[in-house]
Amino acid sequence: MKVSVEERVYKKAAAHVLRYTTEDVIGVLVGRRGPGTVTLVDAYPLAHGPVMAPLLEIAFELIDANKPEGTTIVGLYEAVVKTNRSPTLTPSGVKVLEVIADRAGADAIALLIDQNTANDEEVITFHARQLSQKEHRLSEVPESGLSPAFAMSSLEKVIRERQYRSIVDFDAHFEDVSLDFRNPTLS
Amino acid sequence: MGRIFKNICDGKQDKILERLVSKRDKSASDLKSIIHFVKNNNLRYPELVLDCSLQLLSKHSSGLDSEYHLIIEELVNAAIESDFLEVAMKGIKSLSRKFGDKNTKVIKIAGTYRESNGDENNANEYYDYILSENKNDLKVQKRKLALLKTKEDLQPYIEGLNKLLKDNMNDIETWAELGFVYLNNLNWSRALYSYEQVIMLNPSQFYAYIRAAEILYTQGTTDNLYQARNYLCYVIIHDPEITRALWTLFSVCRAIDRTGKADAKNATLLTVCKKRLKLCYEKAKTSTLIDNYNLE
Repeated sequence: MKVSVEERVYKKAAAHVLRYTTEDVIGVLVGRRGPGTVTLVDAYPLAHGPVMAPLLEIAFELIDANKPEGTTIVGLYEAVVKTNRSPTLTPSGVKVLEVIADRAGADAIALLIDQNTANDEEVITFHARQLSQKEHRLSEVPESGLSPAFAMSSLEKVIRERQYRSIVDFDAHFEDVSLDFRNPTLS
Repeated sequence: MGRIFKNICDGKQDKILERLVSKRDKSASDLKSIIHFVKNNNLRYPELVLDCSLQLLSKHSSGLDSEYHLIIEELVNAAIESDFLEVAMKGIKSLSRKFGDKNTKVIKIAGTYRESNGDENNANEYYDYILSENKNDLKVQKRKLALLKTKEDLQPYIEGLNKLLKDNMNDIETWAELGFVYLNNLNWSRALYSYEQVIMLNPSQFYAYIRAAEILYTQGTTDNLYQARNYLCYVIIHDPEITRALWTLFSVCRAIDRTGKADAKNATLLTVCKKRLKLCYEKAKTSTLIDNYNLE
């Protein structure tokens, strides 16, 4: 499967990571499927902490009601707080990905986001994985269209202008419904 | 370990803070208000606190008097959290000059600085020193335990939390943290037990009820769904504006309906939930978010 990623996905996912640097974050990816390809079109930050079933259900339904036309929920992104742990999906992340794959009746994509320090600079890297819907097995994406240069250029403004401070996830939205989980300012 | 439910956003407090921050030409009093508001509400805006502290120290230091070193302490904590370690070190040196190297607070802050710098061994030594003087210092015990949270294997951390609770059974923060860790590891029954301890220790901790309800829903079974519904109704009776509770109750009532074993109250609660949610979105002027959502 080939995966390509639109700019707003990088921006929203990275903004979510930067906003909650001391928490694990997870978000939903929507995109368009083609024969052997998936284009990730938008990201909906979900939570900064454990995701529970009742709100996951509602979040999926709200995303379905608000996502761009012609797109479906195709996967998730996850970032584990900067620790000594190697970048991998959390048990909770795996469960959510399985739900997404079963819901879609197709393989689901996971973007693992890794925040490191290299040469005294913060570097955010994205890794793509896919979960097979039949076997629920996680593997590398054969042709990942992730472009590190594109990702970093997308993030420059998010970081420089501190746009990440205004990112809203469903945890925040369910606390205060005046906060827009679509994050239109980052689109 | 910070706020009990640090994983749930403070939407309402964010708005109050926004009002404080948006004021132009802030006076010393305004800057102090922002710092105190963030601290007293256990919010997490280290860059903001850092900014306000630096402004206070650079423009208004002569008027700070006895608060001078309190502001430095806030500055250091904020700088550590924002990864401005050079600023933090300068602050620590200032505190050290004022209170001495052997001062417990200074050592504690120096310990968190070492932690932030990845120097866990030294951090441990600092905490061990404080505990050798006072083994009952709960904050330092927790700080020492927090060093285990960064490891791949969380079992020692979980064991440490349980050990802490043996000597401090009434510590709500540790019960909540244990619940949070169990949740992350999908250990529902132990997570539920932990949150129910929080409820028993402080029945007005509404978010513990919501978490417990979410866990019960996830565990499934009709009995669990009814128990979840009870918890959520309790929260909504006391505060009908908690939209997280309303959405969770909506989810739970729908699930009860799907079991085919719904009691007469369920349909009424579902209707009340939907009406209240619509009202909340109308009041927040974000009804567009649920326009295409079937709340019928």
